[in-house]
Amino acid sequence: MLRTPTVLGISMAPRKSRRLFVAVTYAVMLALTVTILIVPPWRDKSEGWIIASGTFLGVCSLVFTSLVKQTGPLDIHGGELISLGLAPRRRNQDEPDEREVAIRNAACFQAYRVLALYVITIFTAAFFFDAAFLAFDLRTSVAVKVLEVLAMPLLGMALTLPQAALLWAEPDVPEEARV
Amino acid sequence: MAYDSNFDARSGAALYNRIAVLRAERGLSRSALADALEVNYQTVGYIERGDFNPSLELAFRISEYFGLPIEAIFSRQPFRPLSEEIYGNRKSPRGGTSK
Repeated sequence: MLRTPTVLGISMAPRKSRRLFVAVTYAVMLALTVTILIVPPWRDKSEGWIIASGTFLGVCSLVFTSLVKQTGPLDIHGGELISLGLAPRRRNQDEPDEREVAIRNAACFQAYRVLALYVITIFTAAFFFDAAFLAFDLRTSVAVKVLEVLAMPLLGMALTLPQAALLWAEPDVPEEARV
Repeated sequence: MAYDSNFDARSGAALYNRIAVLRAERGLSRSALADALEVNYQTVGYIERGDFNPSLELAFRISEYFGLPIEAIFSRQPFRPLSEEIYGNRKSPRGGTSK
């Protein structure tokens, strides 16, 4: 399931290093979100943070997708397209086998549940924010800003959560010695 | 603990197998068996340990590869050791039956 290359010179074969990588990535993502949230919206500085967060998410998405086989939203089975299903063909090393497909699907389902819960929380919060901002006659732009910021982790999770779940849970690769 | 995606294993419907024994008998590495079965070598390890129950199609491929009936490789009951199955009912040289 894991391609286990190195990230910044650190091998991703041991689970410990993968967990550290996931934890650091999500901590940075959270820190960026909180930073954008506390930068006052009436200052132009916040746009820079949003661009920085977007760039960070893009890089994270590329790195996470490169670490785990066939989990990106745009991954397709090239071999199937070439053979057009006319003849049986050997499985490409980069294609997941039935166990890998099963754990990938389970990870995607877990990610979907987290995302669904997060979306429900955002919309519930939006309902109360809206009522509170109307009641206290606060600027609507603040409410919009808060919701925009809360939507950013949604994008991050949609792009990286299935891969993060697999990186977190898969055992050490050397554990499965080629014997 | 590995990502538990195996609903059969989770519900307690464990499937026992003799793949490790058969592989050792034939001097096959996990990698060689995995190549023959067109799966990842880690998947062979998962199946051997009972952490993943293969599909019926893969189980038949394993059976065909070893040239044995499927029930000789997979079972819902724990397997007795092969030595016990072969020699279990023979009389011991001292007159008794070995268990």
